[in-house]
Amino acid sequence: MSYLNRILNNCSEASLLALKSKEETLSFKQKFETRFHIYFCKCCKNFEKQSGKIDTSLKAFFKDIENKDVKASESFKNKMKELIK
Amino acid sequence: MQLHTLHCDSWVDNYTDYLYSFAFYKVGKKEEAEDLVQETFLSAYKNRESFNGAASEKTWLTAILKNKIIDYYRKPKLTDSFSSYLDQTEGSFDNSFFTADNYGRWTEEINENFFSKSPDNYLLGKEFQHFLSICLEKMPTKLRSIFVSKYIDDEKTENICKEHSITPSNYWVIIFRSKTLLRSCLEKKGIN
Repeated sequence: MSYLNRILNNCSEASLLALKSKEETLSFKQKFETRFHIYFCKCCKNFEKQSGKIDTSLKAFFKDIENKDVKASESFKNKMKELIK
Repeated sequence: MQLHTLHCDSWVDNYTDYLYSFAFYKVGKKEEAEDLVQETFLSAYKNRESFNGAASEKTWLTAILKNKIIDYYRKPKLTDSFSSYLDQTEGSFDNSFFTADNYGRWTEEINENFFSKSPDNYLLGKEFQHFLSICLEKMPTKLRSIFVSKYIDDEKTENICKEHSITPSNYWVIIFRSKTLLRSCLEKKGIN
């Protein structure tokens, strides 16, 4: 029973492996345990789904970073202009 | 094939914001991001004769910046600290998100929320992108520097690990903790 308990209750491990599985091939055991956990766990199911949404959004964010909130200051730009005259 | 040419006098106006934000998200500190951009402009200017026109100005400058960032992370002081940082913060991370008993279940239920139900055009829109920028700024610098590499230039895991001298298993711990913090911060934005 303790094996089953571990698989069913270890959200932190299952969610970490779920992220990893998007890029790497997990071992058969890891893959089975992760999918088994997520099948019964609403929280991890939602985490995985929301993580995919965040990925979509992050890719767009970084494609267009020069137009986001972080910007170089005018004084820094002026300093750079002096530098490469 | 049409070759690109350099227009050094318009570099600052055209590329500073891009290069600066790129560096900022990778190193996390304003002064260091400025230093890296400055070094990039200087070395690009010094080596302008070697520009062969195969890539665009922006790509060429970004490549120089990337190399500067790799050098930045080669400083031994910075690379040693990744695994000790993860060890030191493990307790507080686990306490915030997982139960101590029962092998670590999520402490708070993760339910459907405002962005899990949203269509892609909302996720790419102004409001959500603004939330994202606030939550990215709140992330611990150490986690963010690794986490953003994955998205900022579509870098392969293997290269990210090599450039920052971290093990693949630490890499996945960093990605997982970053995602957890970001998700939780974004969820709160929807409630406010």
